[in-house]
Amino acid sequence: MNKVPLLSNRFKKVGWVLLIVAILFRIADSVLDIDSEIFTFNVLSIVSATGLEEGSWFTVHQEDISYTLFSCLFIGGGLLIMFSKERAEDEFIQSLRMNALMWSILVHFVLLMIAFLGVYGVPFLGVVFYNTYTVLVIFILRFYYLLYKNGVLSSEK
Amino acid sequence: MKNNVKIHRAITGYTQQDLAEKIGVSRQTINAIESGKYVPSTVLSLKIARVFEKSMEDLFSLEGTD
Repeated sequence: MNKVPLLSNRFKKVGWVLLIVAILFRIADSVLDIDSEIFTFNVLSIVSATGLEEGSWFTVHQEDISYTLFSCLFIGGGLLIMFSKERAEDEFIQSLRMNALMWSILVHFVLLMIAFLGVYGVPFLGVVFYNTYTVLVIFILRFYYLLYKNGVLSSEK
Repeated sequence: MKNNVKIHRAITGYTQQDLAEKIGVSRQTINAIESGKYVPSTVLSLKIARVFEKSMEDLFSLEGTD
């Protein structure tokens, strides 16, 4: 039977480490109000623009990369968790995966639609900011809830 | 789809873990099949039938809602 190609189970732990580091970094960054100069580096951008000016392509300029760092750690960690095998990966667990994926896509787009209907102007940037991670977050929550409910998590300990 | 995997397992004296190991799935998968929470694929159904030396129809049957 054709199965979804997944990474080895070892990558799951790496994913959790990256995800937790990302969350701690984000909390520390907002609570301690770390000076953005620390995270300002020369970066190569594919396209960049300030305000409403026309964007310039492939330029090197100084940017605060704290959000980039958080996003890459969070998305990288989330993807590793999402696409690593469980210890006893079989077709039943794949059906739970499919269920979690459907839920995450549904929640993501319903939230987006509600935001389109009710959020206008600058606050919409907040929606873009947070809804970027909905698919990963809802997938992980739903998938682990299903594993827990079906006793898969307790048997792995 | 109904199944009587649990009955055949009891007749042969296998535990859920025994059956799971014989067909290469987790014990929780056998549990989910027996409780009707999961309908196994044709491949897995054939593997279960082979373990019990029965035909698929002996183990699985359609319900009115199927």
